[in-house]
Amino acid sequence: MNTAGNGTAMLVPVLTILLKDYFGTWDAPLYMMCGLFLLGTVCWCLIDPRERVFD
Amino acid sequence: MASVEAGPVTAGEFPSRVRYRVVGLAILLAVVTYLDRVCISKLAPQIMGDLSLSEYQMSFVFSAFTLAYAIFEIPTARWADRRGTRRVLARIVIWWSGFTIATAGAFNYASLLIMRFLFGMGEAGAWPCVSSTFSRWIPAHERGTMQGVFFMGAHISGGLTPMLVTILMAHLHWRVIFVLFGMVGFVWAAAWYWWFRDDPFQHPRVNEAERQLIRSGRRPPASHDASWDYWWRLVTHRNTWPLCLMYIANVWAYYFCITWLPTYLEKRFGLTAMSLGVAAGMPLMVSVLGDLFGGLTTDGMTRRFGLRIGRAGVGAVAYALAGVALFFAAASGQPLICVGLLSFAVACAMFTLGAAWEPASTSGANTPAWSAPR
Repeated sequence: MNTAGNGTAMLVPVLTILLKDYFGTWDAPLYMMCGLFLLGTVCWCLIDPRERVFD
Repeated sequence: MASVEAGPVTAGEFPSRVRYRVVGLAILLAVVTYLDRVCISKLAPQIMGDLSLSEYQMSFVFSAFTLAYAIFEIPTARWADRRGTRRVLARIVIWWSGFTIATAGAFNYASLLIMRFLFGMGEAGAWPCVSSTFSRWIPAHERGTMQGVFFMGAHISGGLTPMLVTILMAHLHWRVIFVLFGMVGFVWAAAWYWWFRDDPFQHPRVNEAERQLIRSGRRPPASHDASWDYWWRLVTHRNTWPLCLMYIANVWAYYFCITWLPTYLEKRFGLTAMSLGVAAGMPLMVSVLGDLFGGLTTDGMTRRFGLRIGRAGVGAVAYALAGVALFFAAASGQPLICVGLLSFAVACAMFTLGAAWEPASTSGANTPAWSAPR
């Protein structure tokens, strides 16, 4: 989980600028984050904390 | 290990409170860590102007820190386990404070990139060192609270830093600000080395009652079984992938705040001076509420409704709220509404950290929350 986080963390600054330039507005990175949180909501629904890998 | 002789135990002796001073010093460390880490985001427009950097180049300057952090976190944690946190923490704080000062001397893109990488190398070890210190000094039943307080100290500091930088910028060049902030770290390192001891049993101010309290609250360290079977079961488990994917949103929100947020507010809304300083710090300030109530809520809901609702349900609701808030933050076009909703979204993200790390740690991925750079 943390590796996925750190891996993407490095991309955040440059992707922010890429999105801003591509869509021509500084709001684009915020819409991107909105999408990520909604995707994350779906992920949360798939997680079942009662299922453990190791008992 | 030479332990200092403590006085004889007298019946009904109250435990001394030296461990809370250790926590106090750790919180001051959190403050310094965030001061040095966040200040560059507010200074970015000035730095880019002076060194004629493009937005892409500045992005890689931000990322140089993150890369170094990812590489050096675990090695530094191991080093601290071997040598003790008194020496290691003093050294790494001097190291990163030195490179904070050296950032003042950056004269082009490459030199700034290197300074930020070396700075990140140092900062990478701070939180694992604090975690290791707490595991020796703080009884298990107090540890969660102390770690929470430590996180809050960091976020409050990160929230106040843009304001402080704004005040200083009115009088000082950005290079001078880096020198000042770096010097703060040297003071902290000196105080730590002079006063702190790796083990409470070596510290002359810890009385016998506190020693017993700490000793009885220690837990044997968890063993890491890193066999192929372990990894295979982890990678193929149904919770692993949604957890990783979900966590990306959290990381995005956080890194946006500590990198481009001040520039965004300036370019998009034309905020300047103090209004910009306050607005840029608002998300991290408000996220303190998320730190404070997130863990309590997920634990309370789990007791009442079970794990699925208490962890995943709480996480899903907080994420949905964050997503909706971000949509309207972007669509509003009003600086006040945008900053308010963005802050709310970041607080929602921080709110889920307790719920997020609990299934991660109990499902076998027993990385402590510390290893997240925040």
